Amino acid sequence: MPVVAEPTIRSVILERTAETSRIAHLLRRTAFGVSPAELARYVALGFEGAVDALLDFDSVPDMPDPAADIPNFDPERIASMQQRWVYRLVGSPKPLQERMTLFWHSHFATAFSKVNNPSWMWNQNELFRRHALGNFRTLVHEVAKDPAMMRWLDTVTSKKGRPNENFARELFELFTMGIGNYTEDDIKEAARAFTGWEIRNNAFFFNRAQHDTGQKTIFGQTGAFTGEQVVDLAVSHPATARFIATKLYMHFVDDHPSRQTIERLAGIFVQSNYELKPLVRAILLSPEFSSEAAYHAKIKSPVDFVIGSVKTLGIPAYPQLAAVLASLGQALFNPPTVKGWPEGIEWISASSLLARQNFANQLATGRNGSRQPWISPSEELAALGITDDEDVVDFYLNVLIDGDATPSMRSALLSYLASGERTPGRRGRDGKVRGLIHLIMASPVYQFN
Amino acid sequence: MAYTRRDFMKMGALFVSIGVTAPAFITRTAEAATGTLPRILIVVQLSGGNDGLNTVVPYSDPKYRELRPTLALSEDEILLLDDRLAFHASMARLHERYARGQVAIIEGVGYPNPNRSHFRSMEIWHTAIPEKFEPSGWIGRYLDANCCGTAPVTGVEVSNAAINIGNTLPLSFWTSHVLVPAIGTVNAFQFQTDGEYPDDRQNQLTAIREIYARSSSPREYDEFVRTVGRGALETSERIQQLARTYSPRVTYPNDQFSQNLKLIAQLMQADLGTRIYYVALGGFDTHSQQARTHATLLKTFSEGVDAFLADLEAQGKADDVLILSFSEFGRRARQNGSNGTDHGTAAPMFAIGHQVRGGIHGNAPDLVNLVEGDLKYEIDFRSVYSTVLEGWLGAKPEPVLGRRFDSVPFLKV
Repeated sequence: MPVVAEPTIRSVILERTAETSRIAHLLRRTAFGVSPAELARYVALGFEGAVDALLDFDSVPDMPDPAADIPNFDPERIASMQQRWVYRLVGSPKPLQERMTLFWHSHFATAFSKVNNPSWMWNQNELFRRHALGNFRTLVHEVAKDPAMMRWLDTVTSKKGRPNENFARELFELFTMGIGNYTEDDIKEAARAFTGWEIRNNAFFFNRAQHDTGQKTIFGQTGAFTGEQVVDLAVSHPATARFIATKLYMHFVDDHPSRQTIERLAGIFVQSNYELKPLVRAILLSPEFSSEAAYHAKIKSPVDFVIGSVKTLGIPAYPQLAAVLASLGQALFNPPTVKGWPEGIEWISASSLLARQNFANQLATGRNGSRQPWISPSEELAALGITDDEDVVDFYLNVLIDGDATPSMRSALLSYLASGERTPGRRGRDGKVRGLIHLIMASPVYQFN
Repeated sequence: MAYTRRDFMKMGALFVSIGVTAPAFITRTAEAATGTLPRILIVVQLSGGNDGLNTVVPYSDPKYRELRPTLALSEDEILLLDDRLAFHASMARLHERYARGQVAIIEGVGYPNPNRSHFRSMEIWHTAIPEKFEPSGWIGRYLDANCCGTAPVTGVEVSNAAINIGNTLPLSFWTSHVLVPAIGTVNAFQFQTDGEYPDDRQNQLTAIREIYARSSSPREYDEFVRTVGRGALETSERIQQLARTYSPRVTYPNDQFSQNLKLIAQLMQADLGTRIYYVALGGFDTHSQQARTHATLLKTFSEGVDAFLADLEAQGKADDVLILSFSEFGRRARQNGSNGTDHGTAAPMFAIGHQVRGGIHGNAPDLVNLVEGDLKYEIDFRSVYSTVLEGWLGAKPEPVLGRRFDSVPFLKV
């Protein structure tokens, strides 16, 4: 990791202020974390400036398609698609767009295991990216006609007289209103409205002959509803704004939204005609977001952990990261069920925690495909003029966990650094600093987002 | 769903609000309670909603063929159990074991007011409380009540009394007091340190143990993560020792499910005091083109379970084991227009092992008196849990299930 010795990095990291920690918190939640140099640039903008910079990404030029950098790239292989997305997650100059793309992937969870078509999966991913912070109603309409979704939830097999309920059920339960706001009959009736929805030439095709044009009664309203009208009914249902506001609040803030907060956010969402950017802006600028209760109050998902780690340590994307994510339980394009991935303590088990600690060990002490170390902490410290043990420990505590450690954790790390060889080199000082970085990343607090 | 998550999280908060007390190990208490060697329960979750009608097939019922014009299994696609019911032919290995009296089929299992959402119905099976959302699982409550010493449990404990195979813990195991380890593979299950600096390994282990011993930050999930981490460090050391000495007596199929069962056999060898293992086989949500997928899944299930029992038989341990399989629901009696089946209700469960009363318990499915196109349940799944708790684990069912349920006589013991 080549490091430019900007005095700002040293001061931003070592002389940590509450405002810097607040911005680091914002960047963990919206951008999977950033390197010290990038943090210094966001700190210069101030908190609200940083929120604007993250949200208003439309004018930011996109990165080139990473396909060219991926060895043996093949658009017909799902592994290549996973790698392509990992490179974007690490390298995109619009990190919140990628974060929202991942959010929608988990919300409209579609798995390759059934869709079995890598380019459809990628096209769906581009759909999520295009509408990442766009209009929710438009997003649901396009998802309903997205070939990957249509195969995933069997819309394609739904014929007049023989409707398949799968898509109608999940549209209500998982994509818009949430369970408890509709009946089994609503599902059966709604399923009829999606008959005749087919895929031809890799795109949505309406087969009028297979569409059930009869009267349907949904949410107490009767009409010859089309699939599009059912999507509109579901989006407009009052439960939907609350459901989406709750899910986004819990994604960005913490696991304990209050009823008043959700009502306020849902109101903003409805007022803006289901535009997502005003809703997310309101969440990020809410007092709850910057509160003590929200700070380090979420468990990192594997993507938070893996992408966050390489970004924070300044390691460029590499192909195996996609497999690392899969081994930690988050294979991109393959969520476990239509409900998507969990968001909290479900991620932490004995084996997944050990796997995280072992991945951290690889980054801190291992080497890449060219036999070069992933990181060069001795050079980094030398360039910043950081030498004594306390400064070294505080530097990495601040870079990795905003210095949010108890005195007992800090003193365990200081004792570790002081133990063993004091000589320079891989089996002396350099090895100890790598061990220190591994230990901080293996600690409980590094699992918090 | 949002409601559910919130409650989940409340339970997370409960973990951290309770202090940690001195370890109280489980095995001894469990042995004391039953007076015998601990019996072992293996719960197999068939995720996605297994089509019961094409698993235990009512082949002689003309209504079956009428409801399943393309999916009904023909004479050469089934293996007869009696004059009404037959196994899907993919389950040849279990059919052999059925003939030897090692497979109990419990027919028509479900619960009142069935829910057809995967997630809610799975929660109901995990919590065994259909009426409301309950943040603890039935196995978790069993562990709370039976596993951690005679004194009332006052602390959060990592217990090896139960182990989940797989990286995330199902709701069945959630408790207020006991954390159950989830294990993926043996090789990855250890704290690795700097390979280029082996002299430093002890220093790193000392530091990580210290960090996990005391609060690392005042945050909401600090104690939760530390408790899991301490358990992982301790259990992994014992499992590493065992992995070096274990060799299976049979060749397991290569699929993940069978490999997970092999891992259970391995862990049983480790003598961690584990009484309950939990393993899932997913993919049963067969809304379209069901025939081939379902056949493959049932074959995986049947061959994996058979290899596992054969391994234990060779080691003389098969008598200690009961395998119990369930799915969150069966599927709609009438097939849909996609050569698949939609979400349904009641379905058979299997209890497999040397200690079961082999045969069919309950009645063949009634395909005439359907409720909204679905089978009416005849046996409450909590009766099955109750039988296992009382008859196999030697525990009182009421504290776990909230009230009494009739038992189903599928156990010899």
